[in-house]
Amino acid sequence: MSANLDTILVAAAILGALGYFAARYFRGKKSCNSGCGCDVAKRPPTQKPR
Amino acid sequence: MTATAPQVRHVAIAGNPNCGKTTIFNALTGLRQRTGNYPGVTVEKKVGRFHGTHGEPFDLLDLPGSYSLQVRSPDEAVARDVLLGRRDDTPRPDVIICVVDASNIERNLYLVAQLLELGIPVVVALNMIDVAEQAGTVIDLAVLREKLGVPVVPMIATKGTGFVELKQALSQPIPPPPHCAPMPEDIEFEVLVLADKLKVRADAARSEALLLLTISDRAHLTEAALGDAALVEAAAGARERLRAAGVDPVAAPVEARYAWIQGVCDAAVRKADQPALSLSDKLDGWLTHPIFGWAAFLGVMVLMFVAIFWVAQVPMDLIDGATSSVADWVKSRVPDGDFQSLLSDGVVTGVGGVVIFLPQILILFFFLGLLEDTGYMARAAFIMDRVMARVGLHGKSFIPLLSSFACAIPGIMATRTIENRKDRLVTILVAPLMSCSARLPVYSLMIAVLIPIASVWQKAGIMLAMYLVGLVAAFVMAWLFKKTLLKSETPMLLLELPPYRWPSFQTVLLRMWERGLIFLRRAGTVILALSIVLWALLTFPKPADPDTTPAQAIAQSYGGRMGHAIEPLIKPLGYDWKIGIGLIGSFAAREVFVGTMGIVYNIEDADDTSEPLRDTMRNEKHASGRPVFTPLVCLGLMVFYVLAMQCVSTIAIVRRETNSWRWPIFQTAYMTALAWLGAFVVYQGGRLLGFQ
Repeated sequence: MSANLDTILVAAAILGALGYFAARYFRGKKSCNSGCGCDVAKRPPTQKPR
Repeated sequence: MTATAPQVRHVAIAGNPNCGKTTIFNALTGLRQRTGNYPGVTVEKKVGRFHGTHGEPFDLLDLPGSYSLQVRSPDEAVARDVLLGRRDDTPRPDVIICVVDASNIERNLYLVAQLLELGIPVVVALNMIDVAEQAGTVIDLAVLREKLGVPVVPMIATKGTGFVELKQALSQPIPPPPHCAPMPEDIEFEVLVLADKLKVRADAARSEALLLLTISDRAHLTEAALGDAALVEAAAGARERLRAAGVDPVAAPVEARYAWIQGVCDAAVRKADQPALSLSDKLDGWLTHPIFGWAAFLGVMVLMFVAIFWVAQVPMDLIDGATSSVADWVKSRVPDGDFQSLLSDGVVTGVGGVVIFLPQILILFFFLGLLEDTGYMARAAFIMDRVMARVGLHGKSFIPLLSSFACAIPGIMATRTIENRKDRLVTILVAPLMSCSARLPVYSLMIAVLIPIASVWQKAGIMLAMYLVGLVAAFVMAWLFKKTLLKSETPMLLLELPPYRWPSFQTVLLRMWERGLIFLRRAGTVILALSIVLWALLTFPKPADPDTTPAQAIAQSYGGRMGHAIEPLIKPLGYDWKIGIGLIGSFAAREVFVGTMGIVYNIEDADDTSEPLRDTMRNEKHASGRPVFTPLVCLGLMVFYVLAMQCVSTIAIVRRETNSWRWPIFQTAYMTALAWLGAFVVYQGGRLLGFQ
């Protein structure tokens, strides 16, 4: 494997990992990812108007 | 000709807590179920698909257990709102399966009485009919059907009895209930007036109006909650008129329902004059005994941890072997370079180091599920309450603390059932001290390094000791908080002890399956990404000198520099800078410590073929030749992980639940200080006593 390809693959993996954390932070959590299984969304409570 | 797909009917399954609702839900849906949350509230939503006797599809919704539609907790509010069709995210059910515990029929019929008022077709699943018979209770099903006016299906859900009949009942056209508990005339009149003013569907108007009129919780009667000032005024006016007429708007409907239930039971239920002492009662004499109860509790815990080590050993060895083979395969196939190191030393070691503990996690949840399903957990709560009351903890704190053994996050969410703010805060502050499943990999690794050839009993003993250290620390800290920061009275605990029953293995195995998937998903996402970042921190910057050894290179890396930076702080605990890297890496999630140690030592021994991490750590030595992982260091590390916060997700959830940064910052600070102090006492105290 060429040194360039090696560098590109490593950089892509690191950016992918950082991107994953950034996406989790910015998209508003759909899952707390704590291992508890909940998927608490950051939305206010909704109640049907009467 | 085109065939139209049969219309899916929505079925909700409701019932009191501990009546076997979830067992019926699991038996009907099997693996065709998904778990989520109701938007905006932290209440679990479980839905699944099953087919009737003619193949027609049903969507089944498992509602949170509730004793009535008079709301006392967020769970019960969700159940009520779904049944009244108030939630946008969940359709109003076409049919309700109301699960009734036959051995407690009078109490369970109260919810049935309220469900019949809703006007939705109801099928009563009369569960635990065997337990009722053993207690000498005989139920005349024909009379019960006639009195309730709805289908009644006798069931023993844990033995799979009654499911065919239940499906048959659901496949038939079910009319809305023909009658329900008659209300006093004055109430009925005001209900009709109020129902006219409601902007809801006609079939829900009466039950909505009745609930509005009789609601005892003022918080639910505000304009903010109802969104209609005129309605709030009309309900208040109706209540005033009723009081003036000498009718209590809250108590009268309750009394009317109980009078109706009494009539139903007088006609359909015959009880033994002197109920014999059931096996449950006899067992409780021992299992809730002040001394034998504790002995049984400790025995159960020891058995659980022995099984965790004993049964998990073979699958863990297999996963360990597979991880090593994958790492060796990567090294043999991918050309030398950083990418090869990233894959073998970072990804495979980091993720594999955590995945290896999957069997132990599964066994832990198998046992927790078993204890819950047999009814033993309620007894454990009863025993623990004696201690909890002494340290000032609220009786309702037990369930949050118990949930925290799996993960602190659902535990902290479960504190919402505690009404008193100070009691709730104390529980939130100490819940992360319970040893969660993420600590299991750290304990297991350190025990393996500490005593490599120990018996499973010794390993289980150390593991149990760590769980007890967390429990004692939680009680001591709760006592301290209640005496200082958060002084308040401790209320009494009212606890229902359900009869012991044979566990449903399907329910237990489904729980294991769910937890296993969550663990693997976490390993494939968060742990994978963290492993890559940690590998990068431990690999870059590259040393300029090509003759630098791997050990020197790692010391000069960003991660190495961080480890060196905190070394003065952790040196009194007997830790070196490499352990410091593990502590920093695991601040995001505890189990990352295991992966980080794997990455650190793998990069350092880049030329070696993979060997078990525990052996590498056991052979690790300081420059002076002294072993790094002495028994005191291993014990100190375990105590550190028992007491330290080390979980970003928990900090985030505490921030959300307390609505301020003050409490999560305070909690992280006190737990870190406590962890440092605990590890310091173990290491320095042990040395003073002559240990290594």
